[in-house]
Amino acid sequence: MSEKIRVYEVPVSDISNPNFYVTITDAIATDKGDDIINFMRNRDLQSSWMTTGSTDAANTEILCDVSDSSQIDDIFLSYHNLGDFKFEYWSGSAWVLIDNVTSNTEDFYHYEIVGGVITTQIKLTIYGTIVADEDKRIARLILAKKLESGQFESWPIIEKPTQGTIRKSSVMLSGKYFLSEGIGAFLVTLKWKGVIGQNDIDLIERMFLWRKPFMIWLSGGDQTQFRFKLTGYRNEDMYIMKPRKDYINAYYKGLYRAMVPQTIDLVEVVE
Amino acid sequence: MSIWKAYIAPLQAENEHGDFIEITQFVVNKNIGAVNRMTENNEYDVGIAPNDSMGIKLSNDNGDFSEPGSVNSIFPYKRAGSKFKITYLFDKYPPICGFAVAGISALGPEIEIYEGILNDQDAEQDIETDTISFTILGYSAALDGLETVTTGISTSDTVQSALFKLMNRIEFTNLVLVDNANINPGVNPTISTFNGATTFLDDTTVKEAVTRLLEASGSILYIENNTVYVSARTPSSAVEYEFFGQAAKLGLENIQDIKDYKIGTNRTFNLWKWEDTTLTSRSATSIGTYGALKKTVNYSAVTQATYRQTLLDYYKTEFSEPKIELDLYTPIDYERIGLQLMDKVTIDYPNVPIAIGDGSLPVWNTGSMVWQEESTFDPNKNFFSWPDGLFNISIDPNTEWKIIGIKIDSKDDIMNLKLREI
Repeated sequence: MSEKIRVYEVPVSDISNPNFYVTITDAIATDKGDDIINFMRNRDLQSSWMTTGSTDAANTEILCDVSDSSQIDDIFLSYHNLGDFKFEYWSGSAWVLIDNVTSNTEDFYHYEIVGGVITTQIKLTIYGTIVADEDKRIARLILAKKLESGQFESWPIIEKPTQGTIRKSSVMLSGKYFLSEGIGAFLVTLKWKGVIGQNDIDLIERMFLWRKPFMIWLSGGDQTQFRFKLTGYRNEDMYIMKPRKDYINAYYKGLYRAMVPQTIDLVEVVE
Repeated sequence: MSIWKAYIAPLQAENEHGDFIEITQFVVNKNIGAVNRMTENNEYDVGIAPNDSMGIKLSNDNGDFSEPGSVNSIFPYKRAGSKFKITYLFDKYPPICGFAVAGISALGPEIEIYEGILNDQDAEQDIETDTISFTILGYSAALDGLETVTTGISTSDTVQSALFKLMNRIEFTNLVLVDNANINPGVNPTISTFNGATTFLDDTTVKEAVTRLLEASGSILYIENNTVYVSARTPSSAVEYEFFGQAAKLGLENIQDIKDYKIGTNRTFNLWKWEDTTLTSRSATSIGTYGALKKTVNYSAVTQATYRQTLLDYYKTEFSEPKIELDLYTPIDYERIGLQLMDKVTIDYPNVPIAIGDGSLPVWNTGSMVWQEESTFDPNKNFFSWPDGLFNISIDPNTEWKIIGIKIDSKDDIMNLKLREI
């Protein structure tokens, strides 16, 4: 089913949050991956937290302490190999089930908690990997809160999605180019010929005016709505972004009752 | 969104300043200027850093900053010597209706970035634009205007004691804190060890006298948070901050750029000689590798041959091997702006391996790969080849660095740290 673009606040699990603590419990593993816990928080799908020497019998537990009570609406796991696992949240007096997954074969997981939960702790218990007794691996763990409604009601045109890696280009004597490249940043423009829904207006204004970064999920959870599996449109592609230009909200041709054309130029940011 | 402010505390009478008055609204084109502090005198030498300074241009259409005696002038006594300061407020998420979001808003204090004294000598007024430009000098410049008083200083004084006596003057302590506990020369002999008399202090400004003692003790002087520090070129004991590059996995990227990466031979001296003597100190190992990089010195305070040799050996040890230096640019925030000269930091700037061949990154696994001789190379056997790298440098987070220069630019909220490998 097609899903519209979703927008979240910067996840409480993001590496930019110094008050997010992860404790791994695994009685069997020779290395629980304590030194590389941040690999599942660092926005980088090319690095993963993983155990060494663990088996399914370990029932590995990942306890996420968010310190201050935080609203969690959605949970994501990217590039993982978990087959049977369970998410719970701490109610203040007991652990309450969020989702229990069995016989999973996908490497991407998303769960939308209806109504969200406000909690200080989230626990992930892993009962087995997709291939039995493999070491557990998670490239990205996201605990996120919706921004405003959290999802557009319309479909903007996704313009110029760019994986920007080229920092500088110089021309050599021969005329050939020397390109200096960096790790890269994602840029995209969302364009509405006319926004007609108040919820979308509210979400757009929030993105512009609250002057904090947010997380954009272009696929919204359904990458199959796109004909091809393209970088930027995949389920695992979530970016921390901010608008690069000022907010302009003129009515179409100045007519007070008309729709509002809108364009947001988004750039991936550090913080 | 950050906020920079400028203040002046005019001199009311000799050595007596009034309260700080905010003058931010008079700063032209938000041109507060860049603030620059160093521990060494330039890129290619070792020596006592000159006074730090910055420029400021103010709107003077009402005559607020004209010379004393002018109508509306805020200076009742004199302009020169008035205190000037710049503050920084990291007001990224300001309170809304008095409420701030816990865990997100940074309700930090206004931090003093720079304090100095207003220099009247090169003040320039532009009639057409009604603006006036000043140079603001670091507080150490106040020592330039003081004549050395040698009363109470004898050859039995240590360098530490002599420095304290020289700087403990009301004209200077009115501006900064001079505390014996913060004066810790690299080498701290008595004056008699290197000079039979204190005549080298005669007819000097305090700045000159202090400089001679610093040179004689292998020390540097810097002012942080309005406090005078004298020390060897040793960094803080603890790592005060970790910087992460674009490919770092264990921290959020906070390096905006790295420039002027030098391997250190620019500031390497392996053959030290005392001018007009036969006294030398050399590092044969370093000379063999880098050639003779000679520095000739003649520190006027030091007349005893034995101590001259001690000093040459001290400097040779400090500077005979190259230490990498670089300029690291980072966005300003409360934590980073609190970094001080000689603080120890680390940099995690890994490279990104790019696989060659079949697209897999090679992993050395004892037993499954073998080294092969070129003459008997068999492509059918597993072989190891180094992957390519996305960048041309990488910096090991286990390497430690000390901050030898800080430049803060209010224009784009970026600070430049000059770092030297420890």
